[in-house]
Amino acid sequence: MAEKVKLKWNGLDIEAEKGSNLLQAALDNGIEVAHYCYHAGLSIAGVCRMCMVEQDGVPRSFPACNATCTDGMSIHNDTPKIKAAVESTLQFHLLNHPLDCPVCDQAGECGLQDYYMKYGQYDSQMIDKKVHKPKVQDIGKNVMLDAERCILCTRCTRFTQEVTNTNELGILNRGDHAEITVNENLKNDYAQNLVDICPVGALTSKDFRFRQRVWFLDELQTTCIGCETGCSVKVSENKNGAFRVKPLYDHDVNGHWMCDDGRSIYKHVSSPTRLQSASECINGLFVPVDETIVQNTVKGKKPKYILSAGLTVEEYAAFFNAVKGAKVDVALYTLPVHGPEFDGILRRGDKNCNLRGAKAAFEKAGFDHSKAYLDKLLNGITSQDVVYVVVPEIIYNEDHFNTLISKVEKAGTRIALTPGETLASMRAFNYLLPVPSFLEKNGEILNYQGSARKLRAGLNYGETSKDVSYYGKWVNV
Amino acid sequence: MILKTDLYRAHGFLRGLYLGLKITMMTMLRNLFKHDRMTLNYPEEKYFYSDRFKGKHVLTVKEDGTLRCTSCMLCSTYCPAQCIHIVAADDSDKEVEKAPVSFEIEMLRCVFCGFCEEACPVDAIRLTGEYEMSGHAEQEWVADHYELAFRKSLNNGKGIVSTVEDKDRLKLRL
Amino acid sequence: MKETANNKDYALLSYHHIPGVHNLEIFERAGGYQTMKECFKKDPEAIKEEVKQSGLRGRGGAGFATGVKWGFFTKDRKAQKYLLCNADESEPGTFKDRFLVEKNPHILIEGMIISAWALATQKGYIYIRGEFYQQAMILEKAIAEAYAKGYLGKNIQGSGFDFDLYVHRGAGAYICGEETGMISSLEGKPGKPKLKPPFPAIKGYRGLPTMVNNVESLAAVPWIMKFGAAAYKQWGTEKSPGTKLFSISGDVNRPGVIEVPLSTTLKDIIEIHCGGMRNGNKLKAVIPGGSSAPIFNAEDSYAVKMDYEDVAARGSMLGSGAIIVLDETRNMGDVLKWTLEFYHHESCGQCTPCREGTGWMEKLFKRRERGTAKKSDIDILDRTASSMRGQTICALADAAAMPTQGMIKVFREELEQYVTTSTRK
Repeated sequence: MAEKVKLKWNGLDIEAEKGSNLLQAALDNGIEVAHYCYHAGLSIAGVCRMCMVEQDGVPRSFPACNATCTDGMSIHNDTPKIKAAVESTLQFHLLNHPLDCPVCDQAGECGLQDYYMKYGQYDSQMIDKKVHKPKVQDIGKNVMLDAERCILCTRCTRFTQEVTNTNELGILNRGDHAEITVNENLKNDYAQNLVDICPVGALTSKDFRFRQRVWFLDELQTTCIGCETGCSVKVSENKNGAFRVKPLYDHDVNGHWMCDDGRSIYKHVSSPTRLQSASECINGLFVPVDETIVQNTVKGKKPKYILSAGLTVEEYAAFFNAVKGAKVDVALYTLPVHGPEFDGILRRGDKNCNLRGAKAAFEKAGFDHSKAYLDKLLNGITSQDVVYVVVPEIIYNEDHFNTLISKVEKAGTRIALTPGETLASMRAFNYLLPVPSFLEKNGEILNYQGSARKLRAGLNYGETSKDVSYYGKWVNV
Repeated sequence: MILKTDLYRAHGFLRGLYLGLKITMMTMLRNLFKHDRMTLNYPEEKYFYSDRFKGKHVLTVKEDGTLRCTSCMLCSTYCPAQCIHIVAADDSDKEVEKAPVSFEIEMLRCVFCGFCEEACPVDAIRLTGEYEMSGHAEQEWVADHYELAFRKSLNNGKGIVSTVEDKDRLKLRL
Repeated sequence: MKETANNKDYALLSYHHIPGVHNLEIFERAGGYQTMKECFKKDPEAIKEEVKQSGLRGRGGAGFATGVKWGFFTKDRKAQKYLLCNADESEPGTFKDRFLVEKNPHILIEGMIISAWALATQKGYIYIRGEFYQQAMILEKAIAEAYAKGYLGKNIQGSGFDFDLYVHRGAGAYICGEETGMISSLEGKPGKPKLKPPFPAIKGYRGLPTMVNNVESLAAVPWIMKFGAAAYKQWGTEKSPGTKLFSISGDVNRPGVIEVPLSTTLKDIIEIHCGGMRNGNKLKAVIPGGSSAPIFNAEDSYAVKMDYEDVAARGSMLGSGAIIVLDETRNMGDVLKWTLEFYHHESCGQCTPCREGTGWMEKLFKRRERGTAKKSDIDILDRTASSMRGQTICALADAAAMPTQGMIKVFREELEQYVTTSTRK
């Protein structure tokens, strides 16, 4: 543990690590300090001049983001001088801002709006011609740039410099004509983080563009199932479905960021091709069917299970609990490695989000989770068998999955339990049963470090059963 | 009881009765013998309401014939009946940037409070004096933006209530 | 010529009357580079102490004591360090460094070698303003001469001390005259000032300790080392000793660069050194320290003594010593307009108050061109300027705000009349 120092903030006693950032110390202690350019994951720029503070015994005010905590310092940011400074600096920020909040996606979570209501509320004196800069620029990787809304906090340029080391963004020109530009379109795989760190509406997501106003959305804190890293994320959703995924700060796993691949993990959840109820495939069409009919069909037949590595620990436990004593074959289907093993920041090639949990559950129940055993099971399929395939939620490599389906086709009854979109190749199954997606179930998954990551239920979609024993239910019908 | 009221005490019974019913009587007599009656032979005769009446909504239109609405969703946020449904999309005009592809009001849910008019930052939605609304099926009561902006009854049959120059709005952009 | 401390030409311009002194040979014959040779025999700490004793204050504008600044520098003689000479003289009205470098580049080079020996910096850069092409060439030539003579390079004068000196031309940005902005520019980045702390003396060019000094400060070092701190202190006052170059422009008969002891009255400078006002016009105002210094009215101008304390006491600053004399024919509105245009153009755009403030002040002041000006605009201007002060990384916001506020204080009525005169066509 680092050495702690005690300091006073507006007369309030707070504690901070010695030598840590003064602004961060205040934020950690729940004190609100206006700031735009400071971001805990980036270097200090000190250009927005919003976090100005006064220290007893120091004549000049200074920005808190560039100060370090020392023992016994007494800091104020509620003096009339500082309040006036923050107000006028905010006025400067808004001076050339186009104020197109009605068409701006950031409205509702915009730093300018928030601080205007908190620290501003002045009458504008600006009747002069504003400086105009290019709007609506598609700079690639699903990011839209509006240079006019930008307050030049340089968070985005620092992100491309320091985190991704790709340097696509920079500042052109001087003075009030300075604007963020791209030297070439964005090419890094973490570009969507720029949208998150932009405190105003200058960088917005093309994927989320105009789909919802943010005040209609609720936040669901959960875990990304895109790969085995298991980043903490928050999913913005409402009764119409999920709309976007943003990273949540997690010191141990993902820090402040997440990759672009993880941004699209919500898409299958409320996709129009997702099944709402149990269906039977008749002549290539999926027709809703009662679950009891399916149960009658499979009654008494020997089931073979192919599980995916994307279920929660609880679901595996409930399943193997049901399997205990029954004569069932169980194998594990794992997604193939997609992309590089590890890209150096967060993203991993192994897309099986709960591979460790699955293996542990298999071993505990005495089953073989190896690829060889899956092949053995597939080769042993006869027309008498009932084969259950738990489809992975997100299938990165469709061809690989289709080969699995083609091998299953020998079985007499083929049933898929699918939490995601319905692929064309799924017509090979007799029955499709919808199971909850990651946004509809509570549970835990074990990420690459083996640490438990929480999934939380938020959405309701169709007639999917939220019961963790649903998978096991089909063993003993 | 009535004997104790101030009117009775001050004026006596008959005069008190006359004073109390004076306006009622006068109106009754005027309606009996004069022709400006309060009752109208609706629908042959129609009452004219002022422009401030909160009747059926109208969407204003820009000079080029597109909706003035920028789909900021403030009206649907503000709406106490939650009857306004807007789907936004990119507009090809970069000055406009955002425009609705669908704008629907569920008339049966609407309480005609006029909050949408108040909330609108660009004068895109107004409540008119139009009060005649009828329909059979539920679907007929969902007004889409064709009906809201271009219905025949608007503006003496011209179909559009107002074409406001969009320069007014862009004037804000100095 | 007899070498005494009481030469008429004082310290810095003591060689300037010699024809061809920009040649090393002539400079040396006149006594140049002798001090340097003696200094190599001295203890570096003693040189630092001597400069500190002389009370020499930074001539770039801020007036921070050079000796004290050197005292903050790391004493580790082995570590990689840099000496930067700030020749990015861009302040409107200032041309003293150009004059110095143009006429006598060797005095600067000698000063830099002595300073480098005292500070143990292995490399030196002269960051010269981009527009000073000719002066940069003169410096290049002088440096080549010094290399040929063995005054620069490896093992100078057998002292075992290596010092390399380079000239770097800027690209014409005013902000690169700010020391951290200059370091950014030298590093190849846009010339944007860096956050302080850390100060350049700790973490400067390429993240290594860097000492940045003005041309005039460095050029004064050889004289101080030659005649001693006590001789230097005979001029000026206790707090601002020595002599200073003033570049005088505007409505005087003989504008130009002069060297006078600090604490000379402005009246003497105008009347004696500059031959009085042009055409016998009445003096209206004087900007005493470059465009960023608040203006003096006629009364203050005649009373002020040109040293750091007295100018500051009267609400302005000595700055770089650029005296701009304005006579009665000048409109103060135009002066402020051009000042505001300059700072708007030169703001680097990093800190919000400066980026937006400089631009807005110009727009505010030019509202008369759109016919929307009111008298109260002056109040808004004053408020805007005051909210810019002390809010930014570097002093450019202050440099724009101070003359604005100063001008409003002194010539308010004239400005009010100026802004309300519509020039809308």
